[in-house]
Parts: sequence; C-alpha cells; structure tokens
Amino acid sequence: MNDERNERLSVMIDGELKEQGSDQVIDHAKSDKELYDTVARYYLIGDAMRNSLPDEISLGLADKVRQSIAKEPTVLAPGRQRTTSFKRFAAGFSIAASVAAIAFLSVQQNGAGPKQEITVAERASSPVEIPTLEPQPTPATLGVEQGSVLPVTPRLNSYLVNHSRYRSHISVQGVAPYARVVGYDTNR
Amino acid sequence: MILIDRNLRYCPPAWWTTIALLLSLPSYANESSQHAMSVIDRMSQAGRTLNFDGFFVYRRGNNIDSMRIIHKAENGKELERLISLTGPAREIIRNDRETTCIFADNRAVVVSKHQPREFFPSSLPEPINKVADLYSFVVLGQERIAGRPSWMIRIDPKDPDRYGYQLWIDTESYLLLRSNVLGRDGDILEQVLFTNIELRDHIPDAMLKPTINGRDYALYSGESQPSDISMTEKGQPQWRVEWLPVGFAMRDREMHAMDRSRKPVDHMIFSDGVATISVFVEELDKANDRLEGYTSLGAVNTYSTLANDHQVTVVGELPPVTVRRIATSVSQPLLSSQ
Repeated sequence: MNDERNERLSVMIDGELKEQGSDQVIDHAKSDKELYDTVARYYLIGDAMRNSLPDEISLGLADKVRQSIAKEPTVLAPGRQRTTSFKRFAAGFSIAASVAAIAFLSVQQNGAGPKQEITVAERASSPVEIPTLEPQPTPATLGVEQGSVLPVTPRLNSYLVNHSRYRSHISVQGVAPYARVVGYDTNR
Repeated sequence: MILIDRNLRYCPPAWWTTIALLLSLPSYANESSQHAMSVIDRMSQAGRTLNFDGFFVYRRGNNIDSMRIIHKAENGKELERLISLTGPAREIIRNDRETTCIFADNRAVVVSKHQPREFFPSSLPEPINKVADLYSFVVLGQERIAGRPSWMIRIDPKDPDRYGYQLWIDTESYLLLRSNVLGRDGDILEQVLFTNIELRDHIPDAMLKPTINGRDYALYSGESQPSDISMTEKGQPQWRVEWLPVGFAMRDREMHAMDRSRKPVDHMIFSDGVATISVFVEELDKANDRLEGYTSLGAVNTYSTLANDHQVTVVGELPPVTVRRIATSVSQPLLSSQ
C-alpha cells in the first residue's frame, strides 16, 4: 500500500501523474505526517542532486514543507488550481526526480561483430537480455593513452557483481559496490 | 642537563610557545592519524553488525541515482536489500550464500551463489596500521550528514597507483554516511550521500523481501567455489599476476561456473587493505567473444586484454593506468615438466 503511494508520489514529482492523481496525493499529504516527510525526502534528494550534494542538509525541511502547505489556502473547487498551488510550492525545490530518469541500455554489441553472448549464467528458456552499463569518461579524460573504451557487456557486468562481493578490511566503499550494479547511466 | 636548563631559562616567553607548538605538531599529526584509523576500524564493524534502513544518493560522473538500503545483522550473518528508487525498478538482495539481482526492466533475475565469505577475514595478516605505509589518514573535523554529527576523514594515497577518499562517519553509530572517491587531481569520481538513516533494533524479514514480482522473469544463476591456489583442474600451473602496486596481496581465489556451456572463470582477489581488485581469467572459445580495452564506472575501472587464448579482465577501485598495468602482467607460467 505504502509502496504504491510512494510510487505515485515519485511519478507525481516526475510530473507524469495526471492532475487528478496529484490532487489525491496532495490531499493525503495534508493530513499525513509520514507522507509529508516522504515528500520532503524526495525533494531533499532532488536538492542534493541539483546542488551537487551539499555538505549540510536542513533537517527541518519536512516541517518547513508542512508549514508551507499549511499556509496554502485549501481550494475546494477546481483541481487545476490546487495542482497549481502545489506546483508553486514545489517550485522552491528542485523537481529533480526527472533529472534522475534513467535510460536503460540493452545489451551492447561490441563493434561490428555478431551479438555478444549472454555470459552471466545459465541461459533461461526465453532469451532475455540482462542489463548492461555504459562506460563514462573517454580514455583521454582518464589519462590513458591507448586502448578503446568498452561498453559494459553482460560479461563485464557479471564480473562487476562478483567483484562487489569483496570488501577490503577498511571498507571505505560503503554501499557503493552494489550501488554501481543497480545504478545506470542516463546518457551514452 | 644543567646546560639545557640554563639555556631554556633565558628563552623569551614567545619562544616557549613556538617550541611547544613545534613539539606538539608531529604528535598531533600522529594522534589524528591514529584517531582516523580507529574511527575507520569501527566503521568497518558498524556497517556489518548494525540494523539500519537508509536512503542515499549515489553519484557517478553525471549520473545520479537515489537508493534505499535495508541492512540486517543476525547471528553473525548479514542480510541486505538495496533498492533503486530512480529509473527502472531494480533490487539486489544478498545474504551470506547468494546475491540476487532483480532487473524489472529486463525481466531478469540473476542469482549468484557463493561460499559464505562475504568479507575478508577480520584477522588480516597485517594490522590496520600497516596500511598507514600506503595511505595517510587524517581527521579533518566534524560535519553533519543526514542530520547526524560525523567525523570527516581524509585518506590520501602515498603513490599515484591508488585513489584517495573522503569519509564522513557517524560519531555515534560509526556508520559511513558520506563518501567521496578522489582521483589523482582531487576530482571526485564517485559519491555516496545518505539523506536519511534509521538505526533499528530489529528488521522484520518482510522488509527484506523484494517488491518486484519476478515470477515470469528469466532466471540466470551462477556458482562460485574456492579453487586450488597453485594448480588448475587440468593440472596446469595457475595464472599469475606478475605486477601489483606495493602492498597488494591475494586474499582469495575462486572458480565461477557462470554458464554450463562455458569454461569456468578463474577469479583472483587482491587488496591493499583499502582498495580491492579482481582479476578474472577465462578461456576463449569463440573468436568473436573477446574484450579488449577500458571501462570506467565511477571509481571502478576495468581493463580487458587477451593472453594465451584467454580473456583477462581486471576490475578494481584503482586508476585506469594501474588497472591496465596489472592486466597486462597476467600470465600463465609454462609447464616445466611435461
């Protein structure tokens, strides 16, 4: 139930939920402290992204959001206006969920050769491609003089998963190893 | 003694301050380093032994994701669920025996079974302060992350073959709340920032179950087993890594059976105590099935090359040049008696 609500919220912040749906979420948010906090968290994450991860984050954000909304007049009639007022309030934050819209990249073909085989594991009955990642910097930005930049093929991806299992004694990586596996690139 | 005493007696007061400062500087630096290392040591423990539910932002280059992590520690075992909150639904659920990756966008479930050796043994051959030969550690102060006061620690490599780190560690729970991986020029390669984290006495099992219904998904599974360090199954000498940056030693070696139709993959794991690298070697059986070149994913770099009809790939949190140098040094010693 909560997951469904959070998903709607996320979609709303993405600007994809129809106005009617937004109204419902806003109505709930006015009476539900937990939902307020969730709204705050989504925007907080957005802020963090837009501001290139600020050092300090205001903890009182949830309360500020609640106060801001409390000050907004309750518009009883058309849904359109209500949505607008919410948007006005939201404008103070970054609507950043859309920034994080992740494009998914299917299995890359390596050069002009035939399609690469799925190498992670036992192939299932239906030929489903497993996710791949895209490399980022070019060799030049990496200070590398020779060699080509490869797309992250399924095989490389499986290497990455296996590598992620191991943490050094001083596990400075924290949650990053697995975040690399589920985090995907937005652009090629 | 008397002479020194006499000299000191004539020191003007300003000199006393200077002398005191000079004397305290090295010990202060040493103290800071010791403090940093003890905080990091406790952090390593905290990440494995606490129950927590946190939201964080993961940034790699221009890409940003928000994620949630639920971690449960019970009877010395860990259960963890990582959920991507942006983009297509993706989850990773892992316990001490298997890692399950669920990719809703590809309708695929990837299960990787392994021996219960998630971490290197806690009693490492070398103590934590041996790492101080390779990196310098310093506590820079305190900052607030996710509403919690944190120690701000910097780890700088003493040679160009490694990356540096900035860590923000909760002063109370010792959980890692923020981390930056720094390139050679101090540029940030990868960032993790918790925006909220809750410590819990108990995590119900329901919280560790995937929300993605993977019933109709394709299942891929692989298995890993520890392997003989010295010889392959065919009795050939094992592949060797001839060059590694100072301080790296082999921590583990496994064979991954990734696919029935393929030869198993030899996986060697090396660490210097801070960074970890994996060396994968697998026999090539198709001419078109080869990789040669770089990949970069935030702080992780890979380099693939070919040696003796084998695919060699190095994956690790080291600069690309270092990763390539390691990869090109991998070789299989010739059989001396046959």
